[in-house]
Amino acid sequence: MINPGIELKENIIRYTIIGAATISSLLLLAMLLFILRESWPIWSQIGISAFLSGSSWKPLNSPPQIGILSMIVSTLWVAGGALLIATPLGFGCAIFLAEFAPSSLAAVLRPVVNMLTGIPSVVFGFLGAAILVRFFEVKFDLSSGESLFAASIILAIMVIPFIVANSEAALRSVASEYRHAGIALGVSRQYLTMRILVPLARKGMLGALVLAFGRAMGETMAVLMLAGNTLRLPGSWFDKGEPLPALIALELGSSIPGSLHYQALFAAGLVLVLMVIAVNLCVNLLLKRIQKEV
Amino acid sequence: MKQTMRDLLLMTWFWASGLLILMILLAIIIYLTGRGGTFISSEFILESPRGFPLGTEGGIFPAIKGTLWLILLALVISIVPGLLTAMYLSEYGRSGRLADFINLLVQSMAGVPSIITGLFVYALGVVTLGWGISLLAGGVALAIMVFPVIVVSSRNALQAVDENYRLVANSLGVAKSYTLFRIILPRAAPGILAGILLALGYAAGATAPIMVTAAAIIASSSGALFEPVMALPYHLYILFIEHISLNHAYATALVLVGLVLFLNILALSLNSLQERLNRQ
Amino acid sequence: MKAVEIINFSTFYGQKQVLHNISMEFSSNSITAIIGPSGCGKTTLLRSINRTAEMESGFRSEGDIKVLGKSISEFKNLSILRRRVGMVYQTPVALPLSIMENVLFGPRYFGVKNRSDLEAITERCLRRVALWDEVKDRLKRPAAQLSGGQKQRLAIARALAVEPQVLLLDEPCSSLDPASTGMIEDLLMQLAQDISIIIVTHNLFQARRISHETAFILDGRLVEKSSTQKLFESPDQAETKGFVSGLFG
Repeated sequence: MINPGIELKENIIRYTIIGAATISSLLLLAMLLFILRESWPIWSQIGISAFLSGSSWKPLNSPPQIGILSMIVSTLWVAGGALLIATPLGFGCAIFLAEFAPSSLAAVLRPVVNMLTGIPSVVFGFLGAAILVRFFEVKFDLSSGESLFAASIILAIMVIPFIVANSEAALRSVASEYRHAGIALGVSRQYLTMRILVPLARKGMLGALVLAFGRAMGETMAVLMLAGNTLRLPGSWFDKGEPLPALIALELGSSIPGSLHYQALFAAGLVLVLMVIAVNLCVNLLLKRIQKEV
Repeated sequence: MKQTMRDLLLMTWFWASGLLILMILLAIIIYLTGRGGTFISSEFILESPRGFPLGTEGGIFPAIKGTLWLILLALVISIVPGLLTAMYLSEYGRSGRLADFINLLVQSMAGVPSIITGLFVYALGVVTLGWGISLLAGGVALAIMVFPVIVVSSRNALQAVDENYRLVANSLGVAKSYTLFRIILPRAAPGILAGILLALGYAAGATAPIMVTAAAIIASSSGALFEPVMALPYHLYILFIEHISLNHAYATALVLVGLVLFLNILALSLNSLQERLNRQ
Repeated sequence: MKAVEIINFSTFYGQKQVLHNISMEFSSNSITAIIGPSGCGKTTLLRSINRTAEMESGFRSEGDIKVLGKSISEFKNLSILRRRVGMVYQTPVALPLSIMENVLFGPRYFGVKNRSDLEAITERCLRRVALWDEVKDRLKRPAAQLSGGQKQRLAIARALAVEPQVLLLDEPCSSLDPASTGMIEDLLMQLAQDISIIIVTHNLFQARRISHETAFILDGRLVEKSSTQKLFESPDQAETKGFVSGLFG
């Protein structure tokens, strides 16, 4: 039994697969480099600190004022606010699903949480704008109910399913010996959960929060429809603002390719990507430290 | 008894969280169906927008077509690179440095905000390559967006196939690719398909990337690569933001959510089929 | 020529040494049993012979193994080595294919295309493992439907289809019922007429029944190897005596 050419065929397949995998993954680096290149004049002419700390965005003036501080602040505020709301609910629901929910209820709740992740962000934005914003306008007698706060609420609803799914998985993966030991000691399940299980699962749970924060920072549609889109520096959670993704989405189409305005939008994009990466890195380091303690 | 009080509060917290989330989803579905359902008719599905301003009457057929074209194009572009990368990670790389690096890159790609993908394709495709606002640009942007999703779900499906098959095949002296294509891939097919369906659902609902690369307020969505298209998510956005028709907006949202949920449920059943297979 | 020669062979997983300087020979056309307590390296030894042990990360080896006179490190193409040395695992594994395709998995890869050749190979191999009569009417059915004993015989047939000269078996009967075990033991004794068989087993009765020679491995070291009768009835080493004495008080 001989098959001439088998080895050649196997090698062709092998190297095609390796090549394709490597090239595809380098796409990310290509994207980052491209954006860096398009935004380079901003960094070299205006400088990092001026760009990041300037709170006035009037790129079409002369002289143009290009500072994205308001957008950065809006991004952080809206995402941070979303996490503030989503964390207790998300953790509570995750603990509920992992430890306390009767299995029939859990069998309904889990697919529900799953389904929430599938609902497009534009639908959330739309419902938030049509219902929540209207509600604020009526209840508090405002001319416009849009605000960072409204955006945070909707963002929270959007990220809760991610927090729940990841946290529940983390809790479930805690070895059952701990549960048995706790129950044998006679403590309540609540006590056992909060004092033993959650601390053991904190790595996964924190990771879930990071993922959620990154997602909230990068979300476009919900904030586009709810945050108010003003270029002023927001002074409180209830002010309007314009997070970075909204800025890019709104102004990209009307900017002139190659102009300072265009380059500034790329610079804003780069800042957004770096912020998301930074958040991920920070918590990865934090998690590694927790790992060492254990 | 302080501990009992604390226990009660904690329990309330857990139950309240669970029930609240359940209610939120039910509320969304019920409200959408209620407000939008009455406006869905065969006319709505099959006709183009009419009336003044455009969209107050007529239907959303071009938007449905456009969304389908976009996700089809995204699939065609991303499926081969996605599957090949997954095959590498599952069969050839496993634990080497290159595999770790690729895993990291793919994971990071999943975290990139979709507007950034749109930004990139706008600069590269729409402007530099001269495609203009086009179906092609939108398809490419969505393909980049779903690439990590396909890689991760396919890789997981491949890795979940019984390791014993690989051991046996190896000891017979056959090459990895032979085993991969004859045994592993067919065995993991339901799971891979499920991942693809989920990716399609994700692409169908994405607004930000297509907003800047492909979507127009009105277009015929005939499938021409270099023409702009209408798309369900963008149409929904425009209907609302321009105050064209709240009722049609609800109906459009319902159609979009219906499409995505349909894809998700299909994926779910494929996944449980896969799990049953793996347990055999 | 000896079927397999192990020469000063040691293996390491990372820092931990598993096999210590083992030297032994396996005769052709006979059955050699390897016995010893669990976890003392018997499986590692088997997997080193067909070079599947090195697929685990951290694996390192020293020394040499010769298969049919040729050192295993000289085989540039591992495929050829693995055809000469077949392996059957502890868990009966049926590939997710039909019964016939299971047997033909190797031959198809190696280029056999002619339909009558394929059918001949299938019948020949299934007959050698005494499965033919049981499955000849359902060759195209999924192999997953077979019983454990049938799957294991299928695994042997599958290994035989690529015409090995050495067959390694790692506790092949440990998950089977006595009737299936008996069937497999019978067919191994038949096969030994033209194939060299090395079988790892924790069933001392089995080793006694079917093997010509037996080797006792303890803590990764070869303690004693001799004809089966001698090893069980009058072993040289005290440790061997202790291990087998449970049976023959």
